[in-house]
Amino acid sequence: MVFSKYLATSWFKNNDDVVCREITCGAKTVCVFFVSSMIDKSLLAQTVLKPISDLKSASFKNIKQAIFCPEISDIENKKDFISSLLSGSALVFVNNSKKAISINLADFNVRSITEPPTSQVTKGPREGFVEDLNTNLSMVRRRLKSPNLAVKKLVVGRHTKTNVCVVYLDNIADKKLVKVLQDKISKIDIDGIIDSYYIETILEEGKLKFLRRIGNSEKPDVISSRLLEGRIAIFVDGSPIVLTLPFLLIEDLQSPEDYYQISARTTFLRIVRLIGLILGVLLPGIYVALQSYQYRVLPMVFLVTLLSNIEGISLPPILEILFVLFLFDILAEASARMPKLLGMALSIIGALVLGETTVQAGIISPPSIVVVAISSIMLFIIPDDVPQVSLLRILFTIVGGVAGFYGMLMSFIMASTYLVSADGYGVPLLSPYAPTNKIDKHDAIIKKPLLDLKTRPTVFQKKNITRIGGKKHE
Amino acid sequence: MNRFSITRRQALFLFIICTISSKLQTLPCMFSEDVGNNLWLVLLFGAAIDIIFFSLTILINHLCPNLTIYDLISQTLGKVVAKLVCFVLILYFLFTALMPYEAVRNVFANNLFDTLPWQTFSIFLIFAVGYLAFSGLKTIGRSSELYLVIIVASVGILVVLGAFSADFGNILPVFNTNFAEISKTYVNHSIWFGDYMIFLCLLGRIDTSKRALKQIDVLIYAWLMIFYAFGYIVFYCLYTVLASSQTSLISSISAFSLLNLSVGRPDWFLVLLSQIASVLSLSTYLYCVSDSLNNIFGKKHYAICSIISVVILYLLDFLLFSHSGVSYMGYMHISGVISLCIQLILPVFCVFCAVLATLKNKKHTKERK
Amino acid sequence: MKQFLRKNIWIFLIISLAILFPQSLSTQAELNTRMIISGIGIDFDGTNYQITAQAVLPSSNSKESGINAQVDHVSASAETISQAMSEISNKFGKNAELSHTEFILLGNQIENKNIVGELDFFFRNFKLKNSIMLLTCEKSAKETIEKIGKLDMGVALSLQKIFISEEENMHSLNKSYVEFVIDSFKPSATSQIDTLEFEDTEENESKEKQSKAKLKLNTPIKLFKNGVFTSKIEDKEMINAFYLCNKKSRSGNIQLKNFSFGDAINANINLRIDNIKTKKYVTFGDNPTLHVDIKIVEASIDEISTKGMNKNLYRSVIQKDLQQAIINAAQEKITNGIYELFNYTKSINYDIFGVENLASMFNLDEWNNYIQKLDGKSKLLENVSIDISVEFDKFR
Repeated sequence: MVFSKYLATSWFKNNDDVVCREITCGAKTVCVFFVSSMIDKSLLAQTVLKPISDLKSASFKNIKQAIFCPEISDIENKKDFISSLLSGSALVFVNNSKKAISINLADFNVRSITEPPTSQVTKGPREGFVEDLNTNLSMVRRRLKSPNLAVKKLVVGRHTKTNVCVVYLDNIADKKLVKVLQDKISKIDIDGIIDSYYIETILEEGKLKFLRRIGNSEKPDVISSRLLEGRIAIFVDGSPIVLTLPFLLIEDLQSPEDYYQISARTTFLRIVRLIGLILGVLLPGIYVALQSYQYRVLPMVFLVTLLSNIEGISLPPILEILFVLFLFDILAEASARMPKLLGMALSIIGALVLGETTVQAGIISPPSIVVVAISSIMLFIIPDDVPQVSLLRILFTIVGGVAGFYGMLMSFIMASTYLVSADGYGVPLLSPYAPTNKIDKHDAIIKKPLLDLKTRPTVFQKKNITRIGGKKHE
Repeated sequence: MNRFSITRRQALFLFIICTISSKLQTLPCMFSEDVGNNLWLVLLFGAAIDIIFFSLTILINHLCPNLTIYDLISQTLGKVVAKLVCFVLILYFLFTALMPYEAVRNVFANNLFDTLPWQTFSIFLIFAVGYLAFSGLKTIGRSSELYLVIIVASVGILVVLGAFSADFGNILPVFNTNFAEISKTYVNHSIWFGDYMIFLCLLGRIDTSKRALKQIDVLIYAWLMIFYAFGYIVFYCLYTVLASSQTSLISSISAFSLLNLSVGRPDWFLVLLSQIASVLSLSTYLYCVSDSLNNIFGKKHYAICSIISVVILYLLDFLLFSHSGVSYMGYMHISGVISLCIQLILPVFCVFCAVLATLKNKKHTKERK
Repeated sequence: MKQFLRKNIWIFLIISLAILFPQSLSTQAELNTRMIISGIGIDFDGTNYQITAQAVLPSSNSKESGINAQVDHVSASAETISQAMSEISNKFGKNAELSHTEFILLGNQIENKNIVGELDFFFRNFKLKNSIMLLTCEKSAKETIEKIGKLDMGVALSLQKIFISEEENMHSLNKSYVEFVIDSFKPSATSQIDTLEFEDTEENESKEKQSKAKLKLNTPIKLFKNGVFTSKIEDKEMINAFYLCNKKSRSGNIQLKNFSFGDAINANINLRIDNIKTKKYVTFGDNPTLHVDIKIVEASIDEISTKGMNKNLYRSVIQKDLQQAIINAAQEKITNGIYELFNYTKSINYDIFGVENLASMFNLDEWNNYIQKLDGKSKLLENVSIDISVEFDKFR
């Protein structure tokens, strides 16, 4: 491959932001190609343009020595040339020569490090990942200053050429799984990767995608602790969400600050979350089933209160609850997207519309609002957003209306069968409860004090499981 | 562990759940009709016989740890005999599965859900059971681990609730019936016993590499039966002569509780949770049926076999109890004798095969040396 | 095959739900089609049964809670109880929902019939709770049950709770209808039912005369044998004795009238007894002897009413000999009460203490020998004697 200004310009004929700077050194011309919006121009001038212009003779070796940049590499083909240029590097070559030098001078405007909105804590670190891969890696590197921290870089996407890093602790993670993941990612044939969700979707095992089998987090402390447990993290350039594998469903009930407070409180909160999750999903269905079929379960006084509230309501209970669920979902979506200035006004309208007007009009009854409100609040106590449970809630409501408690029980059994049978990369999703794993139960729902968590989760791998005490492991 | 293996712990949990489903539903009501206040004696008598044959099953496992019953018989007596035994097992488990199926009907049709006809709402049960059986033994085993505490706690609380209202003097006088009556009652209802047949069918699928089946498992079974006998006593003490007109112990035992005046009927939630035991036991039986079907046809079409077994179960119930006029009691008396023969003969037969296999192996080993 | 099913299982589920979903929409909440019946009264006029149902009407103001609900009474007559219940449903325009029924009240005419047979309809209905209380009354059930509407609402809706708590205090008997049937099938075949009575009080408030009713306790106890009415106990001492021997009694009061000690003390003492433990058993000698052992773990003086002042009685700690005298008087009173009760029921050949039940449980052979010696079962209790022991543990 012979690099020339004419050839390189032809590759970017539609890109007006690709700039070519020519510097004459003796008899030869040195071309510097860069994308003006992607590099630090002052750094380019200081470390590349000035040294080159001071050279008396331009040769590949001289130019390479003259450049004062830490990250430089040799480019010998068109593909690497283009990908380097579009990644924020400046490409320097002597006109009509066979090699070019790629200098990493990327300077993108990235979002500042803030607390992620989806994982807010009252205690503990508040850093969150940003869209820049290098910044994210640096945040993890700061926490895991171990030479065993392996970072394997891959490029995915025909047009986006997104950098994807597979990160793991070499002496702890399951090597077979690392290899499987690397092979899978490298074989991805897609036009572009915009977010880590694309990678997540592709890596998901099984055709039925109702349940996720890959975890994620926006917090570097969470990712670091998961790496220490033997998991593998996948960083995607352009996405603040980092994926982790293997995944256990119990992670959805765990919050980062569980590890920064006393274990008794953590255990209590996790139990509350579990109860909240189960009740949040089942409560609307139970209410419908109670009204429709199993009202005999209620004590007399409560039954009479319920009767007095539902008298005159024209909708059947199942439609009533579905209607209220729909209204709540609309409110939730609207509040996420409405402009802040209008927030207060719309909240009042929402409260008035739901609270007073519809009840007084006899469209819905007060107990149904209470039930759906409690159910919605209960679902929000789960630390990680679990959107599937909203769908499950609707499903159980319909089943409760159709077949009462009996139908709900059968549906619950089917749902739990699905969960129990689900494996993610060989790891059962419901571990450590199904199948039972005594050691791993120490940090599942019940959390033992930190010093009692002597081993890593044995469900991921069986080697090097000691965390506290024992021999030193390098 | 391959796809079809469960651990010893999961197998034990499954076994406990199956005993809850078989012993704590319709059985005590039927016993009280025959022997009155000595119903617990019949249970203990049946349990004593089961313990002996359970021990035989453990012996088979010790002699030939990694062989299924099909492998064992085909190695010693040939594939034809093995397939015949599998056919017998299919019939045995299908007819046994009808019992918890009808028990679920009794609980729900009378107490919790009485507006839909059984044929319609049994479809939900078929779906749940079918899906479990279809998912395989590994899933059934894991589900047993997940649900055991819930089921045992529900049953325990129900029995305790009943015990608070019971006048234990009503069980007296004890031993006022003769051995002949007890054994006759046992024989007529033997289809509800023989829970060890599950272990027999699952031999070779239970991962005993870490810990084999031992006598302690028999001891656990014995303790379970003692607890169930207590439950029977509570049940009879509550209802005495009216015990035979009840449909299910689990749904009736807490009916005298005065909790309903203040907090409604929370015991119904416990009854509901205890029905998970019926679903799990049904799926276990159907797994045994589909596994035996698989062995007969020699191909790995486990999925089709599980669907076929579920459909057969539904049709059997539809044809036998709903349309043919066969009475529940009549069915049990006939099937009781047949099932008892299978329960007693098959383990002995398998022990014989296991001994033969062991002797054969020893002979081969000697010849090689 | 498995892959095909896994791929398409959602389609099957959605289709099934779509087929079943309209069924759940077709009707209003089943609850709206039901009328909650909290109590049932049964009368019999010789040919027809008259059922009076006490229905709970939810408050029309949805902001009020269930405790403010009103009760309404509807009666219907028919040849059978089940027909009468259907008539009641027709009158209400809604199905009568019996799952929350708390009591069944038997009118005075129905006592002439075999109650076990009359309760057949309720017994076969699986929706009914087993703990439904059985009560009788002196007048017709319709008249009595309508008075419940005049009770304070908190009382009207929780009649059974009151009977249960008063049973522990020796003021009432909470017998469930299933228990009544079970007792009737036991060897002695005897069972007792409490009576529902009210004290009428009229209050004049401004211009309107409001009639209110007050629940009466320590009412007569009706005795049934083989499900048929035999007699009743009206005497207060006998009623007290009966409650004292009831296993469910935990505490109560004993009134010692005209208690004398020494020279000048002549008082009425109200003794509070707590933690009562009763044990009954039968021994066989020449004839059967019923032993009634009553152990009162704690006893204390509630109130002493005298005509004058007596410093001995007003001391916070009663001297020992006085204490013993009070205990002796209480023991005598209890013993006499139980003797009276036993002798009365013996005279009408009513096995109130379940001697036959106890003997059948523990001494079956001896009891059978005793029966063989007798001339028919009508003289079963003739030769049975009673031995009463009353023990006080702590006296405060």
